[in-house]
Amino acid sequence: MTTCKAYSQEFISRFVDNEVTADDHEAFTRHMAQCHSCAQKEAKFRQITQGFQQHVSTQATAINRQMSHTTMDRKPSMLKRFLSLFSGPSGRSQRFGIKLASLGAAALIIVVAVFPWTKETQPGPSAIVNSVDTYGSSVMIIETADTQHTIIWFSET
Amino acid sequence: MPQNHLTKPSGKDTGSRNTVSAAGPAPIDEAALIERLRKGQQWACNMLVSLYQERLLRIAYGITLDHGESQEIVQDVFLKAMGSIHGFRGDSGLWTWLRKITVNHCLNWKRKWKRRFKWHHTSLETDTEFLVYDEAVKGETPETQLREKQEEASLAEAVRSLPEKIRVAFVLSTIEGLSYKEISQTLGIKEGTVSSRLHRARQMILENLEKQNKDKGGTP
Repeated sequence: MTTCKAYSQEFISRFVDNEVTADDHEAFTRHMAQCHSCAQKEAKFRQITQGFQQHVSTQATAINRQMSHTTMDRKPSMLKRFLSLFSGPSGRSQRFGIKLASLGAAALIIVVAVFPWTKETQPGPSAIVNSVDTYGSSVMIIETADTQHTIIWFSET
Repeated sequence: MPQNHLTKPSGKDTGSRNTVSAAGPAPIDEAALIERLRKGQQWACNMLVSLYQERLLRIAYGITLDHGESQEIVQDVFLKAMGSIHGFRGDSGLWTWLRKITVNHCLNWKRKWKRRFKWHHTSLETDTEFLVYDEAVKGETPETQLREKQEEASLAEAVRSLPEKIRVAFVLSTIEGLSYKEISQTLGIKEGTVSSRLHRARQMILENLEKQNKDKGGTP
């Protein structure tokens, strides 16, 4: 759709944003009463603005509600709940809790250091599927341990 | 000198002359809120979130058009604001400062490649997100609501297709209601550039909507 030559589309955009002078505003308002093309363009520009405002407002309200519920529903972490068992009104029970937690942490470090339970990582391949040595070069087909990828390794000898 | 009071911001404001106000009978002084934030008081943090979260979400959502990302951005903005409140000089109002941080965060968000992928990736859920029948809307048939939701989704899709710079100017104008001068100050560009970007935004949105209609076989 084209607009008339009297007013540019950028002017109409400025008009919608109330960024024109009072005289221009008055003149264009009068012009729109006679020019269907400009009136239609102005209406479409306004519809875009209002539609987008409505969309963003609805969505932002929904997100805000969701965020507020998340904050309200947030339960205290396990650590806080554990520590709260020892944080009574007296400082004595708090100190006891801290000592107990420290002992627990020290015990955990020792146990992990002495008994390496974790599975040993295998930096190398799990298997060499095939290897071929020829004059001047070698080819190995290797399968990786975790991801089961096949690697073709070539070397000139 | 009149005190700068806190009110739940709803309309257009320009920051320093903004009277911010709290959701309560007694208005809260902005300077007092800042002072309490500097002291790290929980009450002040809660008040900051309560006053500005939804409005910041409008900006973040307007630019990103993504629920999860806008949530993440606004949370980051609050964390950054609370962390750097000591450096806040008060040249502009608290809201203007928060808005600027949000816009910058949104622009940085776009630069992260992982998220950039998500931006270009069309989710199958995108369309249905807007198409939930809202029983609370009285006097509208499900068909009318569905049509409106579809139009809303089409408009969002058209805005999504705008280049980043144009979209940010469009959001600041339509959602924040900023004048061309204020947009030019926020983005560090000339007023003439703001005018051409906004005109371009509207033009591109119209073209995109017409294209969508044509693809669906409807009338423009």
